[in-house]
Amino acid sequence: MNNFLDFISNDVEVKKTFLSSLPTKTKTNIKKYNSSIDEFVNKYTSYRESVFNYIKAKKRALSVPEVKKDFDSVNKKIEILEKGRNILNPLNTSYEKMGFDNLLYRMSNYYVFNFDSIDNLINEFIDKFVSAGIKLDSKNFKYNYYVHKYMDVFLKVRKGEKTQDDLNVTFEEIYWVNPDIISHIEINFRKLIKKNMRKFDSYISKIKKEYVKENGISTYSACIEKLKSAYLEKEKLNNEDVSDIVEKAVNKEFDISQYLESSKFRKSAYSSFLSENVDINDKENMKTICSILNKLYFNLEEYEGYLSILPIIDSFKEEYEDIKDKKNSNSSELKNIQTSIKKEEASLTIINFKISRGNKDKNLKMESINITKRLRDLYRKYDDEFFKSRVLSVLNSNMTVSDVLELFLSFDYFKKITIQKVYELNDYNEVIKQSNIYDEFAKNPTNLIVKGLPVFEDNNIPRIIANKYKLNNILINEDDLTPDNLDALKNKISLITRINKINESDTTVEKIWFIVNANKIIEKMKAN
Amino acid sequence: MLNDKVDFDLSLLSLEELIEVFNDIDSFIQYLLDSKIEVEKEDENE
Repeated sequence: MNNFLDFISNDVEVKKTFLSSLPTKTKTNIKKYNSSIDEFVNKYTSYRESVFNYIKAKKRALSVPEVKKDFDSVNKKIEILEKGRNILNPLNTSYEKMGFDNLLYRMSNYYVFNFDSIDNLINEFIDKFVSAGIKLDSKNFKYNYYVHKYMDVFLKVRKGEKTQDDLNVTFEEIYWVNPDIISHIEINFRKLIKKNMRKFDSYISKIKKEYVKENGISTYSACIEKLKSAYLEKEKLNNEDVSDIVEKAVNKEFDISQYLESSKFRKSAYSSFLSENVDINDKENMKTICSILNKLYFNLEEYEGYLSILPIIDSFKEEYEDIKDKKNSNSSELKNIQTSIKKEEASLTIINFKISRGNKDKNLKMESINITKRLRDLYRKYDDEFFKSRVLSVLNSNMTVSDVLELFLSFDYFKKITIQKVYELNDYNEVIKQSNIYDEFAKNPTNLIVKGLPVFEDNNIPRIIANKYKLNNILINEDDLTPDNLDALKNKISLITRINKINESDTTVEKIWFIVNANKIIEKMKAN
Repeated sequence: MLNDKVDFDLSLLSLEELIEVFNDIDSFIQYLLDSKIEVEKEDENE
């Protein structure tokens, strides 16, 4: 007998045959039979214990030391630069930089999303005014009778002069007469923002000066360049080392048995990218190939990210395709809306004055509600035209996907409105989830493909990618790059680059396979 | 070395064989435990 494995294999068969030959008809027979089983169980439990201890020791001996990576410093750097990206953004105004568009999106969709409380939103508005040195009191909330009634109590609760119960009672009273109270509060804030815009401009200007002084970055483009370096630095830190590969294998993020030399998947991964005449044992050659494959991997990730936000780009394309060459300024539309707002607000002020002077005409309150409704529609129309004016300022037939990404990134309100529309979402958390996916992709300054992708042309990204890598002797064609194939392609690239990394280290695929299986055994024994 | 009458050197096994032998032993223990017969049920045949 050569070794313990052969011994066990034979011994198991012998013992099975022995047991099957034992009579089990009587109680005495069964006792003897069970007694033999107990004896074998004891013996094999002792074998198992010995092998288990050996496996544990072997696993310890083969373990790959973890490499400590410090992400804190680069994350901090990115956080500071992201602040700069917002402050220095040349596309948007103090309104967006203050985050008012984000708050107004939430408030204007209050009924759609069934938020629990409007009070937190109102507090966030008030806090933004406070940060810019603007103190609001009940006199600032005289948009109509009902807004004033609610906000008067709200501000008293904020100061501790009234209770939350008082506010709830007030809301109940108002709601049954004026169910649009929240949108009325919204346009009261819109008016206040408009009125105080200069103060917000100077506040942002002050913040900008401080930022430039503190960080030595004075232009948006310089900020984006620095962000790109920081992202690359993070990407480098994120690069898998062998200890990461072991951890991922143990956590079943990939199947290590597919990496063994005997695996068909491994063979197909190599043959699907590399021509037969490539010597995969040539270390230098494989180093070059893996560096190319890593770039391909990043391109595929970018392509995947692009596909995830494509409906937003398509929606933009559909809206502006026809006017991209004959764009006319919409400044007159903007002015007309502003004039209408002024007129309606003047009428509202007169009615509010009459009500405040004790005029009991019930029609006055109804008229104030009707005017407020018209004003809400006017403000929304103004938002649309304002965004359009920003689009028109940069719209041209050579616009790239990257330019569109910047636009929506600069105007949060429109990004979310578009997301809500194109993905047909009625759940706020879903909108935020999709918005975060958008931000993660659009903010990445290392994106390459979208920078040169004309938004108003039909683009074939799979062809662009495939042609690029054919030049590098990587066997890939555009049919391989269908969205459904991307994960499989990425898995194959990971296999080749990981095996190369493992081969360059002190460990082997077989050792990692052992660690993974030893780990499974340890977990199983712990559970028993 | 195994603490048993059978004295084998486990270091002679490859990594794959080590896992295999553990799993064979473990499966056999399970097989044995499943093969036990409850005596009480057999009383009537006695």
